[in-house]
Amino acid sequence: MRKLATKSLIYYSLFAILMLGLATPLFFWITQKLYLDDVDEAILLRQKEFLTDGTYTKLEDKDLQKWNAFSRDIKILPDTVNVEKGKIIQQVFYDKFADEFEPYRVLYREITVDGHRANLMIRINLVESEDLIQSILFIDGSIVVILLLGFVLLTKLISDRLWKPFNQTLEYIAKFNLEKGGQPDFPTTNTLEFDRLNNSLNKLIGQNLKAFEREKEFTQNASHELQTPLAVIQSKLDLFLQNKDLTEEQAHILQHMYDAISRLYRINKNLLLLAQLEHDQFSQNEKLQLVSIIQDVLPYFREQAEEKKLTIDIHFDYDITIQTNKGMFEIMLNNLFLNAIRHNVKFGRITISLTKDQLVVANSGKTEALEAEKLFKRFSRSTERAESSGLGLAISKKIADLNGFIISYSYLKNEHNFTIRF
Amino acid sequence: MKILIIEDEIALAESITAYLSKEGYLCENITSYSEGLSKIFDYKYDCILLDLMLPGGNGLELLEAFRRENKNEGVIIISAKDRVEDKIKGLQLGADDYLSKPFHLSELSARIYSLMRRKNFENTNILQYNELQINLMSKSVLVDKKSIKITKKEYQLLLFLIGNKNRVISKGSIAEHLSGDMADMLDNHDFVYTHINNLKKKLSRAGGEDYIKSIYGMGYKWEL
Repeated sequence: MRKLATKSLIYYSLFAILMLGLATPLFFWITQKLYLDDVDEAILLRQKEFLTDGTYTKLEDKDLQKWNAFSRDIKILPDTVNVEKGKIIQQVFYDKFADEFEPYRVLYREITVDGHRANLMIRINLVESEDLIQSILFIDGSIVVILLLGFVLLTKLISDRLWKPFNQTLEYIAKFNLEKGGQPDFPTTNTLEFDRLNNSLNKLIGQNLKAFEREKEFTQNASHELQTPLAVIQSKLDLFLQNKDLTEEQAHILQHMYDAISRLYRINKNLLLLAQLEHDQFSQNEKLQLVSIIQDVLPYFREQAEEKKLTIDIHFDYDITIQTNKGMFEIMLNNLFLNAIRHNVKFGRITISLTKDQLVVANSGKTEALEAEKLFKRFSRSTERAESSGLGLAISKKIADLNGFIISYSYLKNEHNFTIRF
Repeated sequence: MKILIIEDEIALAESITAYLSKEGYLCENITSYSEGLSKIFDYKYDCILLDLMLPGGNGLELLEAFRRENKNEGVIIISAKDRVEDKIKGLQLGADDYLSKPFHLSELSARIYSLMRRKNFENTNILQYNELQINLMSKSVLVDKKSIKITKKEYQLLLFLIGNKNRVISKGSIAEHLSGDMADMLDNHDFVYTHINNLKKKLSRAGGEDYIKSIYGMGYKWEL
């Protein structure tokens, strides 16, 4: 992943290099044309001067050698030159001193000297093309370097200063937690787009918070509202049970109704508990010694485990002290212990071990691993045990999260392990 | 014994009335805050069952007003609110007990029974049923004046059965009564059978009569 600034920098740089690359030949061609035009003009001017001045008409053949010796660029040659006359052409001449061939613009034309035809040659030395190209490339290169440096600096400035509010907003959103609530306080910005972004985000978050709040309240209210009709049904069942002529069949039906209502009650109670946990309604913390907490609740579970003839092994290698709400913590423990009993097999075993920083509840049961990622979600029970409310592990996870504990599941040596790391 | 039921859910109040009248209680039902206010000051009751969310006002305010007047009838709150904080608040304001909805009628009856025993302390702490004697202070049980060894759970079970004598109580309500705070989580009530069986055995071994009747294994009755 690249930063936005780096990406735009790359595009700008590529464009700059491309443009200069295309412009260089054009630049060279135009420069050269202008230069040649200028040189040609000078040649024509010199020709005009030469012809208008008319001094050459007084020259004799014997003077020509002297003329040519002193005049470097305007020479009068015998009529042996075999090139097109009256037109400026390009020729190279050998330069004795520089020991190299130099390019020249040359004009030949016929004149009459001492009564016979002769050739006038006017030439101007050109700067060598390589020199020109070199200069142009040097200038171009400098421009590229300066441009790129400028781009880098500008980009840095832009990403540091202009994008600062955006980055701050990003950080706020990254830290935002719907469950913890609290409208994030975005920094004010005078950039229109960022201001709009912040406003939109504020609105969006506000709506989400409200919806979340409503959902939590709804669960709580719904659960409360359900208590009363549940109480009515329950009381009617209790009354029905008093019927003296109750037949076995009716008693059987009644038992099923009792079971169903008890389950309904437990689901309702757990939903309410989840909502309360989300409302953070368990604030009173106290120091707890894990060993004594576990020992307090164990008798209940031994009683529950009796029916399946389960063996419960306890290994307390350490005693851990934690700071939390006692009622809430017991709910988590009870859920884990009850699960270990509920999903166990006859004559199975449960091992509760407390080590330096974790509590592990391991139990025998179904001989295949459970789906770890679904396990802690609401109503995603992996077995078809009708009695469970489907909320126990979701509640345990919620409680662990609230306390900063990590709860996890693993399947080892045919045993289901639930681990809480403190 | 007179019981005032302040509860706006008439169907529930009717159930309570029907169940408690079998025990010989006289029940009166009112459904609103204002009615409650006038009743509790004009008449004398042995026990008041008080719902908290009433049309026209909060039951807790009723309780406060009531206790300000130094009225000392037993008050049991019956409410859908079941948070520990609600319970503590109710008890602090002078309620004698707190039962959250939904509850078993047998549980309510047992609570009233125990409240009545506590309130009428001029009565002895000894309950006597034929050959059976229960000492509420020492929590001991005697059959034909011979003490029998009984576990805490069995003692609780015995009192629960007696508190609902001649009425059938469901297995679930016994399970909940015996498991206290843990009751909400238990989904297996089979352990009740073990406790009932043990209690029966202990009583009959000591020469006691078998008062515990099973109703098709789904409910039990203490028959006197």
